[in-house]
Amino acid sequence: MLRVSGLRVKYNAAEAACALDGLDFSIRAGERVALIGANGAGKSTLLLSLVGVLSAASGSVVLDGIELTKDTLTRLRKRIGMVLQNPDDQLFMPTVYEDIAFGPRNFGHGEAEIEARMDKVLRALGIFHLKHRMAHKLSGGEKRLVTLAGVLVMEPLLLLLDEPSSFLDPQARRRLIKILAELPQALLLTTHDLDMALDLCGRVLLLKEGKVHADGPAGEILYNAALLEDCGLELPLSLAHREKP
Amino acid sequence: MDRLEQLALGNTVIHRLHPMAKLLTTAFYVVIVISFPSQNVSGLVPFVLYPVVLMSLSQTPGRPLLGRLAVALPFSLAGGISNLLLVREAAFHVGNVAVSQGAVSCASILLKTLLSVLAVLLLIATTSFVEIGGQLARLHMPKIFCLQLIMTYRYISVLLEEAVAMYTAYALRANGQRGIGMRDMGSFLGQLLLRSFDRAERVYQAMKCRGFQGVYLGRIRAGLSGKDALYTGALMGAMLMLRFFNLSLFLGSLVG
Repeated sequence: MLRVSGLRVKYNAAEAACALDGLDFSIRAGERVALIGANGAGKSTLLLSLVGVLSAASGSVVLDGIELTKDTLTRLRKRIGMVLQNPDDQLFMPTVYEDIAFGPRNFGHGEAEIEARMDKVLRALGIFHLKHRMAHKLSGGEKRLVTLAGVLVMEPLLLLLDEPSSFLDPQARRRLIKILAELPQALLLTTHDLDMALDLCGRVLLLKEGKVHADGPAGEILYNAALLEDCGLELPLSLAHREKP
Repeated sequence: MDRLEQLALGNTVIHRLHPMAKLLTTAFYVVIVISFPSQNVSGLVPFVLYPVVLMSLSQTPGRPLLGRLAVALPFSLAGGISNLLLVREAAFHVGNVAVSQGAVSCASILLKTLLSVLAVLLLIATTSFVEIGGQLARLHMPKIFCLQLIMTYRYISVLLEEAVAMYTAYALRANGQRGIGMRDMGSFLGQLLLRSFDRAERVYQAMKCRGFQGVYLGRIRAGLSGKDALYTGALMGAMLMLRFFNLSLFLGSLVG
């Protein structure tokens, strides 16, 4: 469903160094993939490149048969939902209602359809009671779910989540994992929360210095202490004191 | 502003009116009130009815409005007092006491400020800010300004939270010093500005990810209904009539 080929991204065209240096990978429909790596490895840069916020120096991104170009940007953004790391960056409208309606309105959906979609998503996430609340008055966990609702309401094929467990307490984190596990969409999430990656994702992409250093089943990569250490990471806490089954 | 935003989520007869109807009547009211000559206080008195009736129908409590009025009044009070001191010719006498034209003018300035600010606050307390921005755009106000208005309004609170967090971090290491020292003020404000730029950049990215292409007008509404048009027309007609017919003097003459 998503095919990334030879993707290279530079922050500054004059610089020789690449933030992403020739990435190749693909994601199947409904697949859940964790994107891990040390700070500065290029995780967030990759997500922003997939939605065309950052332009690629070379390479291609193809989703659902549509290649990412200037002309196809709108069509692609309709199919990719991105949830940013800090919910305050994403909740820019005064109320939950207005914020969730922002995307569908931009894509030209009618008010009745928006309302129906919104109600469906809010009920599915168990936050219908927040519909008319002020966005900046919500708790961290509520804000996270509202940002997710703002993206799900556009019915994307692929969800990109940047550090979804940040700002969450343990219960809110557990609830989010449960919700994400039940979504039919393909997921690509960046995270330092390797336990979450282990719980939620069947596959892990390990980035190091802008390149895919390892790509494989979560059960293999997240148990490999040497590989993780080589990339500035550590074993997930839940695995640190037990043997690989 | 939080409290007013909360009030705007209400569901009274005023809340249910079309935002355009409320925007037009408020703008018209403000223009009419401001257009009164400075010596015509009696003509302004009937205009007190508009905010009073609106507050009652929209079930808006007075307290949050009065608190915000208190912020606006000192500015006009300063202007009014200068009139009081500089224009000393008698306008009329109450018994043996001469009331100066400056005093009348001061009362007029204060009353105009009170009524205008109250009307705008009532608009915000009965209509979501996004709706107001959208309607302003439909009145051909440049869309970029309308969007800036909506975003700035939302991000005042975020900027304040950022400033408070920075101030807390500063105070914790300032060895009991009160406030921000002048030598640190430059870098404090500079940091706040840089953080604001970063935040603005991230917000813009989030907007683009959800299909934003430079224009956002909020909910697409149908035009004014018959009820909305009647409300707008009747109120504007009444205001226009009261602008040129001094009801206070007329009632006074009946009593006299």
